[in-house]
Amino acid sequence: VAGGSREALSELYGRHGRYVLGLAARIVGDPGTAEEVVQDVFTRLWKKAADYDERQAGVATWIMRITRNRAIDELRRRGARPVSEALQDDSPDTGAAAPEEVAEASLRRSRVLAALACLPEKQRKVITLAFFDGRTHGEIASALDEPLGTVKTRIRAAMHSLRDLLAAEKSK
Amino acid sequence: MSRRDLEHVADLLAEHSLGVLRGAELRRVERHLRHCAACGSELAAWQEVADQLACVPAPVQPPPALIGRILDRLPAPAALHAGGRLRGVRLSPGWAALVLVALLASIGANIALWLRTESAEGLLTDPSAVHMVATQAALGAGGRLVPSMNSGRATLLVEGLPGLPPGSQYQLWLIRDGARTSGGVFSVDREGCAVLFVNPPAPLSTYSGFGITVEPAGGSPGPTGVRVLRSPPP
Repeated sequence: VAGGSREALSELYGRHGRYVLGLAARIVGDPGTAEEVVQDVFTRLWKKAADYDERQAGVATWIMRITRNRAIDELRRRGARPVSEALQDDSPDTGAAAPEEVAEASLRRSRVLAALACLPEKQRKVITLAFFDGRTHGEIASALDEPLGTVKTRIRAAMHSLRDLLAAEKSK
Repeated sequence: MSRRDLEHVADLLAEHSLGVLRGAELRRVERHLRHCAACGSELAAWQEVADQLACVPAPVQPPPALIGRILDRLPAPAALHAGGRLRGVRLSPGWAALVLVALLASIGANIALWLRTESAEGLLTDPSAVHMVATQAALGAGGRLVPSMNSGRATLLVEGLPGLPPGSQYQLWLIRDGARTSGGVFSVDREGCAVLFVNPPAPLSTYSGFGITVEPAGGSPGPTGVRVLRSPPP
């Protein structure tokens, strides 16, 4: 892609497009806007491919970071604030991806869902509001009508638990 | 640099990895990270945890035309030029998208050699392609059925077909000696576009005509619904 190969970008899209659209749709909540986010993400990948540093993150991680940032920017630009849904185990659309890729992604997803399911509901809620709704400390505190200090403590506790749970899930 | 800037920010890094910090806290973390490798390393570990949340939403299969829209928007000229111009062949955005989707799918299925020239141009300029024309039921729609030189297969590209209600799909028919054989069923995206890879039981050139009808989802043994596209009479 960094060399200007459209074929390479198409291949990247074939591997990651469905995950990018899934994340974008989860964040912005509207299919049309989510597709615009996907277009923008891959256009940015095309323009910024030379900036990619494999020491910083894997390609998939890099793409999903760009997707989340772009989707949250869009959410903020529109002033939209969807009511955050509970994280649930939707049946993934397996589409036309390679079976081994689907299996690996599905396993990774199951591990994260299992870890999230182990969190107390209040901790899960702050993680959801932060990661998928792009809310700040203060905004989360307002949304939950809780003191800012309580929210900060809860986010830290949730992240520590999540780190330990993910490590445990991975070692299973 | 103030003394405050030198204080480690480990207690804020988990939150920073989620992007929830603002104001003075955010500025403090950013200043400190500029010169503290230990906290930078700690942040990277938290970032790994946060990154994993991105795989929670179920993947969603993008509509077929989306990759075409993306490639159309890319800057820098190449054989496939933005706006749908393809080596002198002027394409509508819909056709450009369809061709690119067909190419992408062929790459994904490791069947690039199936296509005559391994280029989008082949799908559009192939003189042996059968152009399908709209009936009164789908005015404005169009289609091309492009045979492969290296195999007995073909690629059907359609655009402008109306979306169908759940429970219905389009079905391609291959006509020979009055008999109609199914060439496959397909649905169109929101723009009425679709790509279907066809594996006909006999070479495409042995058929006298082709048609596309609306059928129950999954297809019918023979055409039962309204015809939307047909090949011109010989």
